[in-house]
This record gives sequence, structure tokens and C-alpha cells, in this order.
Amino acid sequence: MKRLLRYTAWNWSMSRVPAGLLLAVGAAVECVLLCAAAAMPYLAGVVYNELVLSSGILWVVALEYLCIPVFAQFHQLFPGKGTRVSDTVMTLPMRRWQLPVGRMLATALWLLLGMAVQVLVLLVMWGPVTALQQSVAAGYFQFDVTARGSSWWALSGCGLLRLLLPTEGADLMIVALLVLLPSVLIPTVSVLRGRKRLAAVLLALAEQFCAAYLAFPVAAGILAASQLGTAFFRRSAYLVGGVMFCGAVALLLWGLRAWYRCETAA
Amino acid sequence: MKGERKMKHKKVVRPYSVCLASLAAGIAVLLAGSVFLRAGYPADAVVLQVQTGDTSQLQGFTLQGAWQETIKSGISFSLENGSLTTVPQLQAEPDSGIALWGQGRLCVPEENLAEVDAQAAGGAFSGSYGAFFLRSHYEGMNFTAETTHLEEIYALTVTDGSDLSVRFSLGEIETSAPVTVTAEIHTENRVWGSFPYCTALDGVADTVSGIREVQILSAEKPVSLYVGPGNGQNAGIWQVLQLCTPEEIEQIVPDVMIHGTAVPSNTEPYGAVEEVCTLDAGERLAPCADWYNARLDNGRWFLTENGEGELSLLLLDENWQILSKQLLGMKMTEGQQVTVLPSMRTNEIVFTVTDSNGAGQASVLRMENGKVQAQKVMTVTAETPLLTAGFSQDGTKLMIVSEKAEDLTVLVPAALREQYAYTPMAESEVPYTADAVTGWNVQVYPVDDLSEPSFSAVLDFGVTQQWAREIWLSGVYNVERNISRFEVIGAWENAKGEHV
Repeated sequence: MKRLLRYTAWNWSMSRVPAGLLLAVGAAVECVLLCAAAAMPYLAGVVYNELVLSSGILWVVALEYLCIPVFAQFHQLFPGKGTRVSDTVMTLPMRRWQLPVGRMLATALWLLLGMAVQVLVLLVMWGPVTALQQSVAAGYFQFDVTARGSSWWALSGCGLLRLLLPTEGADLMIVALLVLLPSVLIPTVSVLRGRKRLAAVLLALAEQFCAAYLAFPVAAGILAASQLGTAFFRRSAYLVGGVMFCGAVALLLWGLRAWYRCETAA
Repeated sequence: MKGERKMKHKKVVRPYSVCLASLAAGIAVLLAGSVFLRAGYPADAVVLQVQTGDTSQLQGFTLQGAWQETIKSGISFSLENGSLTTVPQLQAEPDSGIALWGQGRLCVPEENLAEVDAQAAGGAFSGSYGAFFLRSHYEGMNFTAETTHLEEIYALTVTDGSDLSVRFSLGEIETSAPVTVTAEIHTENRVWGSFPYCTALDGVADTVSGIREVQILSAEKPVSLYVGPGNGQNAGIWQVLQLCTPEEIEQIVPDVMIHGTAVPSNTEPYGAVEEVCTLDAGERLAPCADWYNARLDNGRWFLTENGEGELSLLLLDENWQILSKQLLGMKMTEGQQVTVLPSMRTNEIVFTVTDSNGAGQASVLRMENGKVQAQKVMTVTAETPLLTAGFSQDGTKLMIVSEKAEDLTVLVPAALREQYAYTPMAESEVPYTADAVTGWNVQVYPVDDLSEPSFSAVLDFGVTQQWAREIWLSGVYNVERNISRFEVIGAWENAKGEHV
């Protein structure tokens, strides 16, 4: 177990520059977009969730989400001159299953960190964004917002924040899906080579896209996770969920077969 | 030398500790956020501001309410014996019933179809909708004819995506003047697109007599409907016993021939309904948009009117069977509407009878063993809409809760109004003022004297960001928008919409 955790830490640590950069650049872009939206007169009176939606940061979040697994295994997937990874299942004193599991855990950890960074951006930016919005609105509004607990109302009403901080079972299932799906698929991607890897990457991205599609109404605050199986979203939710499940199982089996059939260069 | 310098700058990476520290930091941020959501809610979001009297007057009253800002963000509050408590609501409200869509039509009975079809005239139609790769094309034939013999058909469909449905006949009607009916034959989407001769009720409701009105009384299972009088039948309450899937419907419904093309019949019933309660001749339910809160501890209640405007209270048990009916001594006139309000006790009934501008009368009734034990009638005005009213535990005091609104004004830049409302403006800024509910007036009166309240207070919510948003966007688009964030929760349910 200790070996597995040490390998996970080493694997995670290798990607601290590319994945860290991805999260940092993403956070910076989101801050800029939020400030730009808050400075628009049309959005002077809207609530924080609407500002988040109008700023377009959900697109940035979606792009980051699609990129994190690849960036989390960047050096392992694209070894350069100075970053060639030289361990294999034959050289590491570990059981064969521990290698994919270690990569899975390292990717999950990067996704968890991505969630934390996103939560931090939304929490920290509420103050400056609201101040900027109020300075724009000052000339237009002849009354003050006097309701108590404005930060709680704004943040608890923010769909993206509520997706990342689940408060009910269905929310937790969506978050688990978002984190576990790419984590489970990344060993498949990393074990394959050449055109097979390209196909696996494209399929894994499609899987992630399906998960993001299911999570979108929750992130936008349109539906609660518990409402995904009802109302207008019902049919497409079942269809996308079914396609995603079948695709994930197929990729997983493909990956497992590859792990047991070849000597794996990490 | 070169090797030494390299050695000097070589960093010692300790991935295990860095990784653990990052994991701990990430979890700490997520935990902090979760704790903020659960514990950081404003316990003072609702404040009782006493204006006259003291809070001892609130002994014996329980007023519960909810402030729902978004689907997963809100608080519920309770003013019990003068003590105010708030609880955060971070979970989505469960659906209060099945999402239903009902549609009535006047259709040509199957035995008359051939005759009507023979005299019909029509032609081809085609068109398209959508854009680019989502563009869909449709084409077909439509025919119109006139007839005086029609059958009223009502279909109820579940709109949660399952498309479960029930269809039943409300009897055949002989009209005094011919009615135009239309049939459509689509070359694609045969089941849902094509239909034999029929007409929508909306267009003929004023000219055809005998049409039976249908209203959904309860969207909870079993779905209950009110079917009004007409066509020689008394009004009654019907229950849906069986809904059919689209596949079952396709098997049940036979085809009929329209101009030589097979089209699914629109008169064949499917599913099952049953009349569970029949009203007296000439009696009908009072016009009311929503009977959701018409509940008592042992069943439901409805108001009926006998054709002369006299209101009666109809008590039903849990199985929708009539328990009793009693005259209330209240009258309603043409154009007036009943609004059922949530009551503060499970043995009390609160409703208003108002005209279109919201002014009229309100009545509070306390029930005991199926009989009216106490009744109070009061006047309501359009300026302060009544939210609820109720007797104290001992029946000596009456609490009246009404909306408190404030005028809020925004100055909309003319450029925005021009851009979004397409209205050219001469001024640089356009003022827009709207009424916003910022609290509830809570007044307590001695039950035998409603002239002066013994206690008066405001349950204050303040001006919320949502109000600012609504008024701002109303001003920008120059369209009146209204929101309802604060609602009284009836004693029969809790803030989560569950029965208690």
C-alpha cells in the first residue's frame, strides 16, 4: 500500500508544472472574464450566478475539465528529451495492478485540486466582482439591496459552486462521476501507443464530454442533480448516460487487456 | 567544476510530502466551502420588527414560511408563539406532483367521419422549421368541413418525458350552428402529427353550449380532475385510474380513413378514469385557479356555488368521498375568483373571494368534527394582498398576514433600453419603478373586534438582489416582471413540500 501511495505521489508530482500551469492560467482567465462581465452595464443588477453564466467561465471550466487528465499525465503521455520516464512494470518493485491504480489516483487528485481551485476562485472573486458591479450600478439604482446575508445568498445560489460542493446524494453522484470517469480511463490512454492511443484519447474525451453535458444544467443552476431524471432533460439524460456508460466499460476493458498483455513503459 | 555546480543547484523533490500537502489544502478548501454553505446562512435573514403591542400577543399562533431564492438555495422560517427560527434549505424541493398537460377537443364521432370527410375541402401544405443542420421539413394535406354533431374528448398527458396519457369522452354535443373542423395528414410523424376532423375548445367555447370544463384538482397520484356540468350531466370529481404509454396507445387506437389515408382515431379512449364524487344538479366548483392548499387534517375541502352565487363548503375524505356540505352565507358575483390560501392550522380554512383587481372578502373558518366551529369574514384590498389568516389556539385572537411592498426605482440608460427593448429614447436615462415585496405585515386582532390590531409587526426580508435584478431587467426590457420568493407554508405540509 505504501508503495502504491509513493508511486501515486511521484506520478502526481511529475505533472505539477503542466497541470499547475493549466489550473493557474484557467483561474486567471476566469478572474478576468468575471471582472469584465461585472463591468458591463447590462449586468449591473443581476445575481452572482447569472454573472458567472454571462461571463462565459463555464466554457473555461469545461475546457479545463477536459484537459486536466491529459495534463495530469503530461510527461508520461508525451515524454520529452529531459522528461523521459524510464520505469516499467518490470523495473518497479510493484504489483502490476498498482501502476494503473497509481495513475488513476494521481489523476483523481489533480481533478480534486482543480475543483478546489475553482471553488476558491468563486469564493474569492465574489467580493471584488460584487464591488465592481455595485460601482457600475450606483448611478442607476435608487435603492440599496438590504437583505441580510448577501454573500450566502449569492454563493449558495451559484450553480457551479453548488455542483462542486455537493449537499445532497444526487449532487455527490454527479461530482463522483466527473472525477472518477476520467481517472478510470486515463490508464487505458496511457498504456496504448500510436493510433490506438489517439483513438483512446478521443473516446475518453467524448466520455468526459458526456459527463460534462450531464453536469451542465446543475452547474448553470437550471436543475438540481436530483431532477436530471425528470422533466425535459429526462430523455437526453438517459441517452447520454447510457452511451457514456457503455463507452466507459468498453474503454476500461480495452485498457485492462492492454495492461495485462504488454510490458508497460510508463 | 561543472559537475559541482550542477550538484549545487540540484533540487531535492519530496513528492510524497508535496502531494500530501496539496491533497490536504484541496480538501481544506472544499470543506471550508461546505461549512460556509451549511453554517454561514443568515440566521437573521428574517427579522420581526414590532410596531405596536408586544410579542405575548403571538402566543398560540404558528406561522411558517419559506424564502426560496433558487432551486437549491433558500431558508424556511417559523414564527411560533412569538419566537422566530430559520433553517437553511440547501436541497431541491421535491416535485409537488406529476407534471400534467390537459387538452380538450371537439371531435367528429367515428360513425360520422365518412359523411364529414365526403364534404370536406382542402389541399396540400408544406413548410419547415429550425435552421441549418437542425432544419426539419414537413408536408401533408389538411381538410376542413362543417358539422353540428361533435364529441367532447379530453386528453391528459404526463410531461415529464414519459408521455403517459389518458383520453376519455365527455359526451356528444349537438351544436345549434355548424362548427368548422379540420383534419391533417402528415406524411411523416404519423402518430402525433396526423389527426381526423376536430377543433380546439378555445375557439368555440363561447358559441357552443354544453361543453364540460375540466380542471386538474390534484397532480398527486391518483390524479384528480374536476369535470364541470354540461351536456345534461352534473359536475363531479373524477380520478385517473390508468395512464397508457405511447406504445400501448399505438396498439389501442385504431386507424380511421381520411381521404383514403389511414390516420389514428382521435375519439378512441385509452387509459381509465372513474367519477368518484358527483355534485348536485346546477352545482359547480367555485372558479379557482389552484386548489393545492384546500386541505384539512382529515381530507380536502372545496367551495361550490349553486348558480345563484351562494357558496357552500364541501368536505371530502381522503378517498374523495363527500363527508358533508354546508352553506357558508357568502355570495360571489360574476367575474369574482376564489383563492385558496395556506392555513396556519390543519383544522382551519382560509380563502378569499375577490374581483379581478384583488379587492373583495376573505373568510377564515375553524372546523371541528366536520362542522364550522368559528367563522370570520373580513375585507381585503388590492394594495395589501392577504397571504394567510388564522385563529389563535384558544380562538380568542385572529392573525392576519399580508404582503408589504415598497416602490423601488432604477434609472435605465437609454442606450440599454434602445438595445434590448428596441425603443428609441430622447432622454439619456429612463426611470422605471416597480412594487417589490420586502416583508409581511403581521397583525393580531381580538376576534370580536377587527377595527384596531392589538399587535402589529413586520416580518422583514429586506430588498433582495433578486428584486434588484427583476426591476433592473424589467426596466431594460420595459416589460413588467414579477417574482415570488416568499411563501406561506400551509400547516398540512412542511417547507420541503412533505405532508405532515
